[in-house]
Amino acid sequence: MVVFGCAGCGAVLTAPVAQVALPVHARQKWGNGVLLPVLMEPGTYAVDPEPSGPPWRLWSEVGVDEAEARGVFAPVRALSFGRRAIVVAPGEIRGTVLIPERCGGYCCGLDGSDGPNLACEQCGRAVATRIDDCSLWQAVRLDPGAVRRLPAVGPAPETVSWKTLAQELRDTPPFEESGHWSARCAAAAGAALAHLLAASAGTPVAVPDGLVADTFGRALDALLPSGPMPKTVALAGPLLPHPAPELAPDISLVPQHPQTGRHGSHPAPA
Amino acid sequence: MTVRLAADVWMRLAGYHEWLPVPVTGGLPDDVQDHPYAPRSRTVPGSNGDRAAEGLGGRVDCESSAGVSAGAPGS
Repeated sequence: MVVFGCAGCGAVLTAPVAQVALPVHARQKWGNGVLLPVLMEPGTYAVDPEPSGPPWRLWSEVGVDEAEARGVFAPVRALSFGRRAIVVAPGEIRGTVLIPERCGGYCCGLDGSDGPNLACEQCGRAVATRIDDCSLWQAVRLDPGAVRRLPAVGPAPETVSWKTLAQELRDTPPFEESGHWSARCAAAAGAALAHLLAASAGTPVAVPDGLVADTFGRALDALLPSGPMPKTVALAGPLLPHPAPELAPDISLVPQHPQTGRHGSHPAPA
Repeated sequence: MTVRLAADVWMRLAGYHEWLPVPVTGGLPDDVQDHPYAPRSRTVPGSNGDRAAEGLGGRVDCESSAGVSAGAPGS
């Protein structure tokens, strides 16, 4: 567990937090006028691997080659060239005040488009950006250049086993009351679909009948060609039987642990 | 080759939890988009989510732009 403090004066800026993987839905935008929940679980933080916030550069200024080097293969209006933020839940923040002239947004809250909007209460240094406007997952993004880690305040929580995780996730509904997918679930499936398409390299794929086909099959059929010798896709992971080598799929769909971000694959055969 | 999927969704696909299968939409044939459980439109073009994420100024009022009320003060 760590506490983040102001790099200027050392004031405490967060409650004790433990590092986890950034949720896959961190950059999701959902609907309009919809207030989304808090992104991070209590007592956790994540380091965003992608830049966020200003400065921004328009797509026409960035160009295809530089965008692809960043892993962006479809045009967007602008790309961030900001820092890789430390993301926490708003409830974990201590000792900050809003910077009134940077409170951009306000359809329903702050959108962070003006840059850091939270200052250290003690010295006034701009330290973080709070985002809680509609369509955006609520979070505070600490500027890594404006904060520092204070001495550890305790050991990190143990990594939850896959078996325990299965029990804990049992009650997380994948649907809203309306019957639509939850925003979080849609983001997870969408991200996996994008990676499946990338893994296919544009060649035909074959998914097993059942839930995997129901979830991804139609999209893959629409977006990829059909043909002989398709790449095979199948679920694989620590909670499933290890397949025989001749039955191993070309592409394995594996679970990503929400704490570590690592995937769970089959243990090596004895 | 491995493709990662959020653990809770993976566990539902693996049959650990109850799951009502839903197709993923996005540039798909009409019969998919018309599916009763197809996810709703994610972002209204030009909405606040778009503009905030892309660092663009100028806000779009929730009610007038999409006919959806946020139901919150300041909307």
